[in-house]
Amino acid sequence: MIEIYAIETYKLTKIYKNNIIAVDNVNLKVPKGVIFGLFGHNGAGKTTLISMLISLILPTKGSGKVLGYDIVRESIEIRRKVGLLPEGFGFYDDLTARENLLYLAELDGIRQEEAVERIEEVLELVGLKDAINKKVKEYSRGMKQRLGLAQALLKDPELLLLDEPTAGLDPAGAEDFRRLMYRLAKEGKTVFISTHLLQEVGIICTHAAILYKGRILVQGSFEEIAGIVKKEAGRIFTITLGSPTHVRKVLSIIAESREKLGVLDLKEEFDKLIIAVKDVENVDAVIDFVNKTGFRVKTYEEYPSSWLDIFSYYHDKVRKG
Amino acid sequence: MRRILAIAEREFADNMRSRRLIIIVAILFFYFTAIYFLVLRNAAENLLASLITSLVGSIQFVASILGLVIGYDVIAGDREKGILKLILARPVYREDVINGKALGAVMSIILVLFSAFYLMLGMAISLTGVVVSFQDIMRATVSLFFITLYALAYYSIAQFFSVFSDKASKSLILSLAVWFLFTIILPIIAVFVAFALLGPIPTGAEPEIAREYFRKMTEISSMVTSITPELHINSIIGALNSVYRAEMYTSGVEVRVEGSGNQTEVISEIIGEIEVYPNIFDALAASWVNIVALIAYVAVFYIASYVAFVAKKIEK
Repeated sequence: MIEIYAIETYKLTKIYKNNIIAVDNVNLKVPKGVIFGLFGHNGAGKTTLISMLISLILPTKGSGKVLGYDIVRESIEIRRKVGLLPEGFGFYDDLTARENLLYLAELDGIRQEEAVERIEEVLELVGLKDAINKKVKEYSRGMKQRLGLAQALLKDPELLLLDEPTAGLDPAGAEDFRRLMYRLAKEGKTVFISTHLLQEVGIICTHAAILYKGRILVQGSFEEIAGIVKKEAGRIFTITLGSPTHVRKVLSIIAESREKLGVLDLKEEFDKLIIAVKDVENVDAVIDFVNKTGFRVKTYEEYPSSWLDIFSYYHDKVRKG
Repeated sequence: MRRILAIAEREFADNMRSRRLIIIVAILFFYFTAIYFLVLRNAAENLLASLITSLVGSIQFVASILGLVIGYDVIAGDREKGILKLILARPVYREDVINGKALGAVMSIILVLFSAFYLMLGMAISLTGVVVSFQDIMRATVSLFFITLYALAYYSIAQFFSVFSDKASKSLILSLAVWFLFTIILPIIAVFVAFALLGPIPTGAEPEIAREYFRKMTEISSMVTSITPELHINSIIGALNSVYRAEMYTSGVEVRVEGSGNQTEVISEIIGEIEVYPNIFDALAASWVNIVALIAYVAVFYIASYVAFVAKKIEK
């Protein structure tokens, strides 16, 4: 049978000794060949979920398959084919990048001659080839993060599990990271990224799940989830005005004419206003109204237009109960 | 097996380049040098025996510390640095990790103890010009083997704490606490218990009564300290050293009794009553309980840490 999912879990649950439910009945489906984001705040259960997927810890209840292998009974097979970049990893500081990777390649079961070549390849991919013989203690935090990615790529994995991969990367590093993930996905690899930094990583994710207190609130492709949000929330759009000060002023102006403009709900979020209206015609009315007040609408977008919009929407929803 | 060996090799290489190991070897050389000059001054008649026994004593002195130093961060250190996550994310069983690390540690302990011993012995021989027979080397090697077992007992204890600790410093503190308990606190407690049970040392009493008092005191102290690896290694090494004494008796060399006067003389006499064995086999046969106890120490703590480390997958 051909597996269409790289990851599939059924009621996967982890309860720690102190009765803390870290992961609660998670049914996750990650299609093959996509870049999948697991979004959630710190403590949402992302790391625990990843640790169970690669069998670093065992689930309390439920089951799961990664690349068709059972996460409890076939963990070694999973680890042969999955590259993991864990959160809070480290290397032997006194060894060079090459020596560290040679050791890890040996544990991956890669023959030494093959490993030497592969190490050069992956370090080239992550932009560290020039630092191959540098001791890790001389690396910057960003370089260590890149080296972490290199070790995950060593075995040329079918699936990459990346836990907060952009932590420590500067904007240029984050951009390189996104390009690399995009390239790997094009080669047919599945990339599973767990993060709370949606602005950095969300842009490359075609699919995602939002994890909240160990439970999945929603999952699917961007189009699927955006469709759900539109259906639930009605006609919503966002405008940006150039500065958060303007946003606040315009918010109070629109609020005064709510009824007349057909505005149902109004909310500011950083540099933009999220506006729910009764009808399509009200969108133009609101934009015209704002432009006439002396402020200028810089951009207009359908809501939700990003994973961050979706994430905020679901978080608001659970907070409001 | 390949992965166990890879982990062992890494652990061994890490130990060999660690600064703390160099410090331990330096302490060992310093300690032995001091003992060496002391022996040269005091043991003119039986220089070789004194040299070898003091060399064994020096090695024994650092063996427990060596075991602790190698063991306390064997798992906790990698966990703290985040290396353990990278290792366990590979097609490696947790059992392979702990076995590989232990193998690397055992290799490190053996290399340090044996090479330091033979190096120092070589230095002592070349400086004094004493002639060493094959039997002498054999006997010292057997002692060294049991000292290695003693070091491994402390390694196992430290590894046990290392498995449970999230930080290497926590594991080090716990391991040192046990070391203090076994080497310093329990022997003191043993003396207090003996005094509490027997009362004060009889002054001006008949030698027979005094001898009986000290015999009972030794018995009680041994009972209290019987849970320490020190008691067992001391008994084994004491039995092996007594083979020298037996040879000295047969070769006509008199054993010098240190000190003079009432109590010192009596204590020396009692020490002189320790069994003297004609050969190594008899000495070891007489110490079988101590040997088993040392092996049990290594096995119990190793199995406990092994089980705990493998079970961590279930509990986290």
